[in-house]
Amino acid sequence: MTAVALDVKAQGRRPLLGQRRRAESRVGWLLVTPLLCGLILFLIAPCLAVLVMAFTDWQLGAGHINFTGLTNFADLAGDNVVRISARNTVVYALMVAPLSVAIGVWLAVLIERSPIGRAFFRSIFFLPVVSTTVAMAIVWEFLLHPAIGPLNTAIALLGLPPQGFLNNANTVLATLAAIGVWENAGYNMVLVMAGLKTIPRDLYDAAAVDGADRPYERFWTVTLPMLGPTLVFVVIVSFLRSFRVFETVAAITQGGPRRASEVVLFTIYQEGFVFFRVGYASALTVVFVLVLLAITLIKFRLLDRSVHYG
Amino acid sequence: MASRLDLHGLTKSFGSTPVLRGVDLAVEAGEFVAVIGPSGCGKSTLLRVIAGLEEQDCGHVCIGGASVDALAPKSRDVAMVFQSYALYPHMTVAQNIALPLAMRDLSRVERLPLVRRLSARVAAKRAIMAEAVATAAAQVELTDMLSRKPGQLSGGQRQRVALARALVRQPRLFLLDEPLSNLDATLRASTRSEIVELQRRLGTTTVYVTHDQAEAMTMAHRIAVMFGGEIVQFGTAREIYDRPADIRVAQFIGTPRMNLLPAQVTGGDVRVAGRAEPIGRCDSVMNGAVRIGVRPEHVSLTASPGAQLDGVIRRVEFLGSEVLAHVLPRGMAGPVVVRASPDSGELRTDSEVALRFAAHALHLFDAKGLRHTIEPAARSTGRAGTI
Repeated sequence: MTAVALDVKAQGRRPLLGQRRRAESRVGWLLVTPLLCGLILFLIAPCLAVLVMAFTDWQLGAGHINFTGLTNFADLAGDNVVRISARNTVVYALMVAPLSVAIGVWLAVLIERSPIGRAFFRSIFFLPVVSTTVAMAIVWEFLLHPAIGPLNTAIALLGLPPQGFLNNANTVLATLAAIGVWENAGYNMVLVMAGLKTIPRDLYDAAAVDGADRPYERFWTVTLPMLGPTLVFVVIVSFLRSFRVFETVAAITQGGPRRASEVVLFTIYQEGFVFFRVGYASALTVVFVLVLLAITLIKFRLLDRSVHYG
Repeated sequence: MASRLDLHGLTKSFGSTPVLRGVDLAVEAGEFVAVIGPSGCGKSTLLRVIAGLEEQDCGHVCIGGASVDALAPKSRDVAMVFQSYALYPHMTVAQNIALPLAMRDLSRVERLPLVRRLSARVAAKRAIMAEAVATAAAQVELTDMLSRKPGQLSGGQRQRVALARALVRQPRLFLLDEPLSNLDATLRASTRSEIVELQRRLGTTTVYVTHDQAEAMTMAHRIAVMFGGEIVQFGTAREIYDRPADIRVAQFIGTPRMNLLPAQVTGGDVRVAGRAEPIGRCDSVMNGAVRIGVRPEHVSLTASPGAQLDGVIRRVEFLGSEVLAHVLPRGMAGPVVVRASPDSGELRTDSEVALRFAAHALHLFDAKGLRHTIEPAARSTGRAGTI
């Protein structure tokens, strides 16, 4: 821009500026075109397609398509499976998000203060994040197996009866949540660690001179308030991630037993790709996205009010 | 409640790097001592050791005559102001100032936010604290800002919050770590006098770390000059300026820096390198290569050639209240800076001048850099102190 401005001053001709600007904007459009194509093809168009299909009765592979208005949405409201899966998803998220945030913060503070092995522990706890969830799910399935799982062997050593953690309708969701916490805590830990690094050391020194030098005092006086902005992000992301639970359910329980671990994303998958009711699955997707958006906005408003930024 | 501060043989190393090498310092009760030195000389570490934020390897810190080596920072009853102010950004000004009181006077349960409403005893304690906060805030003129957060304050106001937080619980010792270096020049000058006034009024013993010689010289009763982890000289501003202990202090204190000229001593007679005429006598150094130090205001220019040292004016700096002339003496590598009055006539670049030194204000630095006194040469004593 500076070059353009100088140029105009030198020549004293205004039309040139318009020409230049147009040329510049042409180059700009040219540069973003590849990205724009990708975005439209793979993100915006499919989103619009889902939105349109939500109002149709289209079935995967079917040759005909009828617009059915709000029928899909009306069906959703009365669908017992959807109600169960929505409830399960909320219960799952309420277990996973707070726990994974709390454990993430705890791990981060613990590792940050550790004099040795920081990189080692950081890697260990971050491993679940980088490993393939489906593969890990199979490992968990083995660990928790009622007959051959090491966990049940340990329980048997204590003289207790073996537990079918994943086969019992009462424990399956909590067990999946535990796996979810294991998976998400490391991710949160890394984010919180980055937040911890930005806290000035002077604040801890000032706190020590002022009398806040015990670990919990330091945590409440300095660490937690200064982590505020990081925590808002971590909490929201954790909820979003746990609402989106799918892989463990699909790989281990298939929503069972007796729909006790049926979650929204799994229901959408089944409706769309098992029962081929794409219209219905699209409607469910639209509702799911809108609810997530609403929850995120409300949460952001609430949390943002109590947080101090820089 | 002023207490004296004594440091005995403090040493501190970070890894294999020694930062403090045996620091001794005796600060009288109520005294304002500035610790000054170039960056990396260990002055901030010294302050942190006094506060208890770093543990010394050897030596003792005594406050009020008693050792505090075994005490945690909060039990030493000291208050510290940091260069960054270290205010808690999520707390209001009032909460920031009250924090040291809350930490000392309230138990963990009593500090919980709702307890104030439930317990009359806690409410009473909180009321006393609020009063102390108001008093402290009034002392630094922050009364109108108590409900704001640090982010809404200017640099100078934040600095005053840090001061109020330090003085609210009336500690035995103030420790200030370059508290003015984040302020702009005008604000720095006014805050300087405010801090001095506050310290004189409260009478609290103060250790003030700075790298700014103007701050140290204007604010402190006495100045400790640190180099390489040692206190090289401890004295009043006048003593340090007039009789610097060694060449490092001489060069560090004073703007522009003291001029140094290569010189030779033979049999006690001091001669500027390449000049036949001795400029003085030194009884403590009899022979060898030395350096002569002379401050810019102790050199004068004369037009008459053939004097002790003559040279060419290379550069003239007009500063309003004074003029600095950079004169390159004949046969020397570096210029001599001369401070002249702007009324003393126009100084022209490239003109030939002669230099005169005020005989009473010459310093001699031996091969180790230590200072020795130069007695004016016998034959020149009759000439009003100039050679």
